[in-house]
Amino acid sequence: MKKTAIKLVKITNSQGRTKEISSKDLLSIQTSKSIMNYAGTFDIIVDNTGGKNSKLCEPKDEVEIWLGYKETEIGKVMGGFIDRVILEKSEESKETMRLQGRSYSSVLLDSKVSGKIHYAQGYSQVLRELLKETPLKPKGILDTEGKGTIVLRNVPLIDVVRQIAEEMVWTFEVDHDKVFHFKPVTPPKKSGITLTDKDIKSFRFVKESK
Amino acid sequence: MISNLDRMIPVDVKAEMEEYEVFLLLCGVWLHDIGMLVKRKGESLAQVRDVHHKRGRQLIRTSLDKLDLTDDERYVVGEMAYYHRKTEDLSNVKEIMEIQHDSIVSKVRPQFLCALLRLADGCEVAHSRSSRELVEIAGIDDEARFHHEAHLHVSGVGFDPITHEITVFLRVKKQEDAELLTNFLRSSLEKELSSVKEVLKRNGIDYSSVQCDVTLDQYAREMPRVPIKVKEMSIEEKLAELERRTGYYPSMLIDEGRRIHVFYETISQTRKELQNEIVAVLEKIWNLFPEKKIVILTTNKIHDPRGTIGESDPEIITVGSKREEFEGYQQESIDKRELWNKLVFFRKVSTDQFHKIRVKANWPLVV
Repeated sequence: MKKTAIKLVKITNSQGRTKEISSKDLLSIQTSKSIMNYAGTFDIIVDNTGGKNSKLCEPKDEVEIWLGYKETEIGKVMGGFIDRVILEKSEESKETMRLQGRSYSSVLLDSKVSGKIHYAQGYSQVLRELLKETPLKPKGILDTEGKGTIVLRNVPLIDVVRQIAEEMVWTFEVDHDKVFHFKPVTPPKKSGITLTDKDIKSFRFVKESK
Repeated sequence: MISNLDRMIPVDVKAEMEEYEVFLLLCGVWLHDIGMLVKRKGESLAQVRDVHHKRGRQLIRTSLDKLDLTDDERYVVGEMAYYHRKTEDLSNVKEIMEIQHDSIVSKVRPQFLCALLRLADGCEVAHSRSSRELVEIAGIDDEARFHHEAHLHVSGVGFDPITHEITVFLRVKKQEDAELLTNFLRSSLEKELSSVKEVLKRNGIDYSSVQCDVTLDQYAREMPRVPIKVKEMSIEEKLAELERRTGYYPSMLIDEGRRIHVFYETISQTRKELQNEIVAVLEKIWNLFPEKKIVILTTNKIHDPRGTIGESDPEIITVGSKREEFEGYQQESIDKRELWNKLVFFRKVSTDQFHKIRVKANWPLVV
């Protein structure tokens, strides 16, 4: 039996008020995952007939996207902030509202930091200090050693985090609940999945000259 | 600045600008630095400069009753005053506004106007901006003095929309001054340009690089070398001094007692340029931090991602150096090649799709 997908989008504004967009108003949801520490993206199209949803949200509001098949089995697939709200009207007089934005990692990309931090508990202390100014909550290895001072001059937060992660041979990610994880780099594990002729419908080889 | 704008904006783009938009742009030109007039008790010139864009916007929007501008006009001109500082993010400015004036409604592009003003202001580096008398008598601080002296060596700035180049024409006495000023001016203008490039491109103006055209002239004045007392300087002052001496912007420094790690972005285009620059920057760091035992330098290549060390070209290269090696080089007991061979280079490589680590790299000095 064909399952019916359930879509749910929750929007929280700067005052902390949360509203939900009902499944019937959600015309399409597209997301791309965060890769190589760049933010994931989302693109949501909402039915806006008669301007009914026009005042639902503003740029910088927070978005949670939930997907699943049953009310009890739905899971959050992305959380982030709205960058653009586009109100559109097509030739067939269909009015839609488009919400485009990026995942919570965008906080790292959009923030710049300046100042001086003295640390006595290694780089993890520096990271904790830096994340205090953001909505992200740190989690992972929080005990490191080392004393020193770091001076930052209008540096994107992502560059500082990347640099610290590299010094410590750590990796980091921001999850759907605004939790910033940092942990040691581990070699990739085998997934145990083997694709056979039955699974591969088509393929394409691309050779490029160097 | 108006002359810069006139030459910077190509004819076809100018033709598409409404008269009203040009009017607002000129208002921005006249008023963008008005915040410099507000100086609170005890504030230094540098502190005033740091906040003048905020104060300027405030003044334009809420005071200056004699300005015969509407609220919408004050809004746009205020945005120009605020966003002419390159530290502010232009993506926060509205792309398009419709403003009613008299009985007409005009489309105005505030973000585009802010980008134009920022670049024109950044390119305001020619000698006409400064005067020898001001440098001599005004009692300005060393940093401001350096900027004024730098401007006095610039004979003009050219804009070529066909080759997409901005050219700074320099007249200097010595090769050493040429390098100092080329580094300083190119680096500062490149940063200015990269902060507005996308906005300008969307509006039909495409500049992609900054070049310096140097004329050596024995009658030109030598750039001043201000004696400084390194021991009395804070880390922040040392970084500012490093920026002044190299023309590059050190964005981050980690001080761990015996060891310091400095990060900056290079604009060198070739391997030879980058290698010479690394030795020069290291030398200046050693002079500013004589008490350290180890200096580590990480440089991000922000321009042409092709080509510095062949097949294994890094976007980011890290160099490690010890004090005794540099002392040997400064005392001329070893030459540049010997010094180079003692430095340790690291570059980033992927261990898999996501994780990059640093590995030692062999990077011979270019002859």
